[in-house]
Amino acid sequence: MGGATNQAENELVQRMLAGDEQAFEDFAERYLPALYRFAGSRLGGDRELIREIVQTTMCRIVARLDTFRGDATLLTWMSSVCRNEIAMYFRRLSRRPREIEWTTAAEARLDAMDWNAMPEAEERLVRDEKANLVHMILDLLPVHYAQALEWKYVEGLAVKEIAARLKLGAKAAESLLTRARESFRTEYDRNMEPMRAAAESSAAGNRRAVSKS
Amino acid sequence: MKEHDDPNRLGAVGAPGAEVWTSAVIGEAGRRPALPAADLAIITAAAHREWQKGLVRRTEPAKGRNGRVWLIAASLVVTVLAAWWWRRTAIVPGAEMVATVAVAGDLDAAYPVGSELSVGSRVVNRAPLALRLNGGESLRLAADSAIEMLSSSHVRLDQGAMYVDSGPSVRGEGLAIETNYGWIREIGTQFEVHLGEAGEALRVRVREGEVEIRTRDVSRSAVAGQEVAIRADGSVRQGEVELFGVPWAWAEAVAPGFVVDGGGSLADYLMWIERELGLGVEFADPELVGDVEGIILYGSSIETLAPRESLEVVLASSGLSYRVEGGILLIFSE
Repeated sequence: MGGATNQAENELVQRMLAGDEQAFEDFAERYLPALYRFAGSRLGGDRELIREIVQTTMCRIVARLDTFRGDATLLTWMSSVCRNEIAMYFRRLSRRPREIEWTTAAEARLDAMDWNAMPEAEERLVRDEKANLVHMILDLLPVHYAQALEWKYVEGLAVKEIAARLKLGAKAAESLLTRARESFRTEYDRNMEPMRAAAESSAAGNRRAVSKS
Repeated sequence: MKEHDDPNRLGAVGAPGAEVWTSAVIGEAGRRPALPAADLAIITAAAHREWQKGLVRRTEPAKGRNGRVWLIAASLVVTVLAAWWWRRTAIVPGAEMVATVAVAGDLDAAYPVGSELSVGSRVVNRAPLALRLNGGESLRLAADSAIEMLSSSHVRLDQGAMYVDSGPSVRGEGLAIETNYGWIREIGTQFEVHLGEAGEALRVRVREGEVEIRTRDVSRSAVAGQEVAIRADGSVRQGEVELFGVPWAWAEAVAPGFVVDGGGSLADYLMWIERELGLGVEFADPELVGDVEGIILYGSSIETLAPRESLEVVLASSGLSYRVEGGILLIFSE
């Protein structure tokens, strides 16, 4: 199953390189939300900054699709491009001292932090990061698959209710849920570990860079 | 134990184990926060434009990468156009916009970045300023300069100093700079014009290409690495100038940053650095020559940095470092 999905990604890239408009639409619809979520988890609530970073990243990616070798999943590759873009942004900030503009939201977050609960805060960060990765994987699925999974496992709806929302019979809804679980597991296996490993490697690199400077 | 080894999630499709695992993972993550549809649409549109540009680029013939070709082309074109040297460009009055402020070196600048200048505009700047002319030329003014935009290809320098970089592409009508002491005409050149320094009424330094300088009594040409100075008494001094370093530092400091347009590679960036710093780029390891083509620059964050500032950032993020030896920028792996 993993191999078939890698092949599907390679085919999608090749179709985009050949100028296939539908391929571009499929690519944007499938990967942009996940990429946006990836950047958002690293840039706090600054919507303008997130849009700028993600836009630049997407432009880089589509301009250099011919360098995608298929060694990693497309999402892992795109995330590494985005990570690089974010790093460049923060490196530029550190080299040009300027007043940091405190937004109301940032101040509120700072005020809300419980400095006595740091271990819990760290656990919360890890949990949030994992939740974000799960959300990104859901973004990769066809819309109705992701919706069905959230209705079932987050909202706790019964299959009958999901069937009504999707305007399907009960058996068809059950079958769709099965396929949705299968797709989710496939994408989870393909993407979760590489993304985690890349994040750890990046964090280690940042620590080396800090100690070097 | 890693989650994907958890036996609860193994098993055939539809097996209870798979259901339990999926329920746990998705349930714990919670509902996905909604994403701003408007922002996604904007990003998609921008990416679509870049994708289409990439399609066109891949079908265009490869362009030459050797920046040194500019110098040869510039010299040839200057020779051909010399016959019409004295013909003044007619000034067309009106509101035609001829230049845009690209870099303002001081937050209090009277000319904010992005402001446009029309024919007839006078610029009297206290802080360094960089303009982008409609023809693509970069025109940088030192602090305390004064110019008048007479047309899109004709500028009058009344005071101070001006650095011109007309870029690698040649347009049919080169930029003409008029001063009280004479005219300077260029095509495909980098040079500086300085008025009233150290007892010299007019000084022209050439970094690349060739210029012709004409006064009432004197006609001179200067090529890269030369400077020509005309004193108030009309006497002429001709000498040499380094292509890099202190003589050009003020112009480098107000240079518009490198625009990381779709598909920009480290090789593209280093070509720009060569041009902006007047240094020749060389590599300690010959294998790096091929590597830099494959290193892609991401992000608009270096666009606001001067060349030397962005050089450190870009090379560091690519795992490279550098040192300057004479007129050579030597790149090596960290």
